[in-house]
Amino acid sequence: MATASAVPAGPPMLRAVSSQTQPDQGRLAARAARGEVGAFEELYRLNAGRIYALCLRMSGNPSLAEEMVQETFVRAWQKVGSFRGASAFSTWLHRVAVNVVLGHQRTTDRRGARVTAPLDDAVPERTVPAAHPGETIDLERAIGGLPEGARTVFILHDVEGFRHHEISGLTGIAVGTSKAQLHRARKLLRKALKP
Amino acid sequence: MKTNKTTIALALLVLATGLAWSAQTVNERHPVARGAEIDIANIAGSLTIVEWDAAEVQIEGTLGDGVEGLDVRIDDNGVSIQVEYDEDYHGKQVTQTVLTIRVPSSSPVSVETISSSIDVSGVRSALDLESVSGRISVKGMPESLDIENVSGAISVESAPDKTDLASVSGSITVGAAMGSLDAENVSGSIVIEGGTLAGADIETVSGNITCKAIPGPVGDIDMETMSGSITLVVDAGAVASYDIETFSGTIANDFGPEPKKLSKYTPEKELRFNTGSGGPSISLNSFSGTIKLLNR
Amino acid sequence: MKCDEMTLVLDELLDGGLDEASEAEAQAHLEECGVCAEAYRSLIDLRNGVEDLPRSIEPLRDLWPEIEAQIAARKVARGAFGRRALMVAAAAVVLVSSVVTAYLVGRQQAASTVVVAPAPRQVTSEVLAASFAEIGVHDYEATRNQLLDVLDGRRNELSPATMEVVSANLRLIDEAMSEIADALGKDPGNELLMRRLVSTYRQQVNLLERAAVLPREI
Repeated sequence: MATASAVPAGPPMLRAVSSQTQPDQGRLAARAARGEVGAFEELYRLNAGRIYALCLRMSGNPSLAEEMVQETFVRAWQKVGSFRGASAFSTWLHRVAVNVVLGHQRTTDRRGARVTAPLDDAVPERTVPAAHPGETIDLERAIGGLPEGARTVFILHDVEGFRHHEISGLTGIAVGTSKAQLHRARKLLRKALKP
Repeated sequence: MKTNKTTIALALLVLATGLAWSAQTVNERHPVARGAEIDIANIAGSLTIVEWDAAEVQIEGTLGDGVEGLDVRIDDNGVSIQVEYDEDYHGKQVTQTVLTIRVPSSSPVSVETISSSIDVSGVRSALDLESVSGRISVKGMPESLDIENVSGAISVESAPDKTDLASVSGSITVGAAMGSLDAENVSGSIVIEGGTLAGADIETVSGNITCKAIPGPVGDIDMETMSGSITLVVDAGAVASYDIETFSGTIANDFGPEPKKLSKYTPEKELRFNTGSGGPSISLNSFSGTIKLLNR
Repeated sequence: MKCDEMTLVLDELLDGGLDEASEAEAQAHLEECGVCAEAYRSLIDLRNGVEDLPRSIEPLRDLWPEIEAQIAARKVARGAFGRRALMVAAAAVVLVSSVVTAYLVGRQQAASTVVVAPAPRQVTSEVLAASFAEIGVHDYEATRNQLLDVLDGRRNELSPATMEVVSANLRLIDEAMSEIADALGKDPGNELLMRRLVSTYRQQVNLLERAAVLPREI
């Protein structure tokens, strides 16, 4: 009988906080709050890729994701005056993006237009090549194929690193539902990726 | 995804004999999971949404003339209830669609109509309502509230924190503000009758704004119009700082100093003062509308 | 711990949500049970796979110009604008204001006659455009014209009553902008007037944007 070797437990260390030298985003945000569009543009350049990745994975639709990115930054501009620097700017920006995406989801759901565009066109050439590109594409596709509720929670928890109580606050679903959706997503993904 | 379509046997007869879709009664129940979202769509008539304890959605009432049926779809995310109209029906609408929908208290509810009125009572979770010309009213206090209308009136008994209300020509009335409020209108009025505002962003172009809520200790109050009037009724003794500006309108205030004219070339007037320090910032701004700061 | 209990617990174990005692129990079970250990391993593989996913994906095109245009329209100068920038913004808004009037007048004429070409829209002068660029505003006029086009395109979707409310209020705002521009002519550089002009411009864009996304009525 196979035994498990020391299997690691613990929260996923997935919230990538860049440790490269880059201009302090907090300072840029302060300048942007005073109306400096140039500073805000720099914040855009630094964060657009990550925000787009989030929007693209959540929506599965490249042009919708572009709209969401724009909406995120426009909203961020309007609110940058209230950014207090308690967390990193990029984290704060992420929350704005998540709210934009969830807002779109609610509208889209109501109108009955389920997003079904495959991620095939959207993913690879423009991304940083992963260690195992073939597997990455499969995983992106599998995520794209999850039912919306499960996909939302999976991306927010496992990809973006939000905790369940944070997800509950953002989406309005109960913590228990969030855990159930995550469980479901992981189960479906493991099944989809089985060789 | 289970699909449960309530279709009518008469449908076939209609095609055969050219009879109009005539009204029928409905009475359906569907179990729903806790927290499942409930989406409701109807075009015309009236919808009443009420909360209850059961883990079920109940739809009861009449489907009006020209309605094909009630399309109820249930999946893992929630329930979608659509009143389906026959696109080719051009007959008279004698009987309207009148439905009462009972929903579990934990379910977020979203409703979309064109001219159908929406009356919600007792729903305590998230509420998202949209109409074009239907009257929308909300009684009780939901956890969150987002309402959009074009020409229909919006009436909210208690507005929770982060309420968002938008109309074009319909009036917006809030009985009691219980948190922060974002309300915008074009020619319709915005009236806040009471409660306490934890910040507000109220904007119209030509509609009048009237606010009698208490500007809460937290949050700034911003009211802006072009030609609409702004009337703010407050307790003159409460601590706040006031920044009141108008381009060509008049400022009438029950307390505080006299408004000043800023330049001899323009009609622009300003009134800036505070009643103690540390209170909320209240900014009232109009282009040509009259601004009144009244003592309660 | 039994296997059926384990399925529920594996997620918590992976996410570190178990207390010490439960975690010890779970680990003990994994050491004995090949099936659950395999399930846990596949969870770890999934997590590793997710860690490999690109964190950042560049959009196909540069979205900044459009973001900037929307920001420019929404900016209310609260002392953030330099004096020169305000003057430029004021002049540009007056220009755009006449664009709106010309557009609306053109459309009204079009409605009453048979087929009339749209009223010619004034083009931003190069100097003005360059000054705008200096304060970081590009293509603002293109955005505005786009929004006006969208509104016009919706004539068949929105009820006449709604179109009338929107048009009437756009005219109101337009007139306001002319008044402010006149006042600026008499008291040039007046900061309050500048701010008001820009905030009026913001109101106009806001109205146009709302009109663009109003639900179909017809």
